[in-house]
Amino acid sequence: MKKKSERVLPKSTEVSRREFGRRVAFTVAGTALTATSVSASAEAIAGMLPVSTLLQEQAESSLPAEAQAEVEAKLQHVLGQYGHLLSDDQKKLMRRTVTSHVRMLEAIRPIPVGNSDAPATVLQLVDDENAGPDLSTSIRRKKTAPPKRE
Amino acid sequence: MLPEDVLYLPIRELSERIRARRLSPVELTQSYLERSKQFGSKFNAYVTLTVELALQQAHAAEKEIAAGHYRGPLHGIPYAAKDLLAVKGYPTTWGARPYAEQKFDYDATVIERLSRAGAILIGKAAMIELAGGLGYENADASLTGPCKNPWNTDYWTCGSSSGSGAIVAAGLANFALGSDTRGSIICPSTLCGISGMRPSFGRVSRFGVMAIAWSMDKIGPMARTADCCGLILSAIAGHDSKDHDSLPSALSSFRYAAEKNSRPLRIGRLTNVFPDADPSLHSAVDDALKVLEKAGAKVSDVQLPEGPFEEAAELVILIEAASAFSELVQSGRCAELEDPLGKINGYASLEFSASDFLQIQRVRVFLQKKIDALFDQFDVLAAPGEDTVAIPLKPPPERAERRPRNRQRGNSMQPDAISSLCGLPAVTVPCAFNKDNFPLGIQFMARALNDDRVIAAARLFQKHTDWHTKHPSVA
Repeated sequence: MKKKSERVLPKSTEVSRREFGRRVAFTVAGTALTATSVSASAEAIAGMLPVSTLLQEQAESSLPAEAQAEVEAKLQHVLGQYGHLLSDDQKKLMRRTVTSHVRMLEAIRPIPVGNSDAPATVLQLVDDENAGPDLSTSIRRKKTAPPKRE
Repeated sequence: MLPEDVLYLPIRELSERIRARRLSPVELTQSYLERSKQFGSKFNAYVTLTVELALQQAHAAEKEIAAGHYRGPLHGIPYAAKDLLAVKGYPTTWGARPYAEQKFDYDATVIERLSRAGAILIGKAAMIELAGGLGYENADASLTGPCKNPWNTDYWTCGSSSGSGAIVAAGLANFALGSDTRGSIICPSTLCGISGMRPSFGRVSRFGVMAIAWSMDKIGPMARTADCCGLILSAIAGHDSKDHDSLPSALSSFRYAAEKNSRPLRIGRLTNVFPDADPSLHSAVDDALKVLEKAGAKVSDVQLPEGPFEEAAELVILIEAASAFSELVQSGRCAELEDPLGKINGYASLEFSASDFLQIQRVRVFLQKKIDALFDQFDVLAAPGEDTVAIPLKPPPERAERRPRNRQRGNSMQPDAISSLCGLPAVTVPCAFNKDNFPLGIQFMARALNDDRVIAAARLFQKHTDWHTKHPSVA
């Protein structure tokens, strides 16, 4: 049996590593968005440079119709829930923000994944390194009182 | 008050003097405190000075060392901690107005570990609000105002570990702790001309630390040299059952062996990152690599693989931050944040679907393998520390218009996003100064858990250069 760590691509798609790379590159290039959308919010999060200009420019460039419809739907939803808390300027910024979010998703969604390709989010069964080898005992979580916030 | 040059000494030199009882931890602490009181506000570097705790720890250190109980190289060394690390009895504001009065009744694990190593906490460092977790547009997105770069106070330190960068650059403490979700140690360390390290994900506990993105947050040292970073990492690394993502001891503990260079370092010079950066940044890296080649390293060009690393990193942060700060967002209290984007970004991020999040996390595994494969050929990858030389606090209107557009055109290949997404260790150290006396940096990144290699590369460079000994004229 092949070790799991050696399998880097989805079984179901039968795509070679090179082909995967090509598809990823194509996806990125095809959506023509990386530099724009990524810089914008990435800088906002990572503690780098201002983003408002970038977001504005992103919003000005076009999205595929389906993605644009998604932007509108998400915008309707978020404004329906929280619109009463937002000023007109904030609503404009919200549109640009949602647009940049959808752009980024468009770069990720087309990448093929197979049924057994697990996400990088896993439940850790053992949280105590000193737990014994017997799984039934090692999965017992240490009960500690949650820290208090004053 | 000790002379300024003593306050800028690296840990190893200070600790030799402390151990030999030629330098008093109390006098050292008082000198840093005095300097912090005198210059801290000039840079908006601190949220709180922990004077009482510092003096108590300094007296304890002095007494112990006098009694022959020397704990190691951090014993008696004063430091500052980013204000997202819980310190019992002191405010922990997360740099944000809604948490200005927040206090915890326990210490973060890293604070505990540094106490155990005998280090002396002198203050809580200023930071960008929520470490930029909900986004920000301006340097003044902070409870304490914009953090000013000690090399030129018209310029920003970068963030989000802004105060930590200013404090070390200005010699207000010997070292500082910062946090890095995506670039928040590397960027301010580079722009402040100090040595900063982002350890491998899971190596340093985040218990007692504000979370932005659980799967990307790291705590790391910001100090005078890469060697200092190694010493600090040795003290703070290691398993912690209170942090869900803490690696087991066999993987997380870090024993720093300063002179362990069994074979020449293989360095890959990344040629497709920061294509629109100021050419001086790339030429500084080329010059630095020539130094390393002369010192025995093998250097060759390499390109980062294509892939939506940037999007994946950004989306993971947006989605996890929206959950981490859901109480703040859903209560509407995000309106109390300073920054226009921070006030609204959380609402937008609540719109991401579970299936999108899982798709990102599944693609992330592929991306991780792509970047990992590069390290079959290289011990470390080298690139400019940042794609910007300096960031004005208030850019002139024409520059504000121009700069972001330039940045967005070709800078999608940012090593920070890639290494942060994949949990890789990185170190940045100063490698030149430009004509306006701003420091330029070189960063090294390595395969996950090869923290010793990034330190080794940076140490080798610092052994043959003296950029790290330069400091701004604070007075």
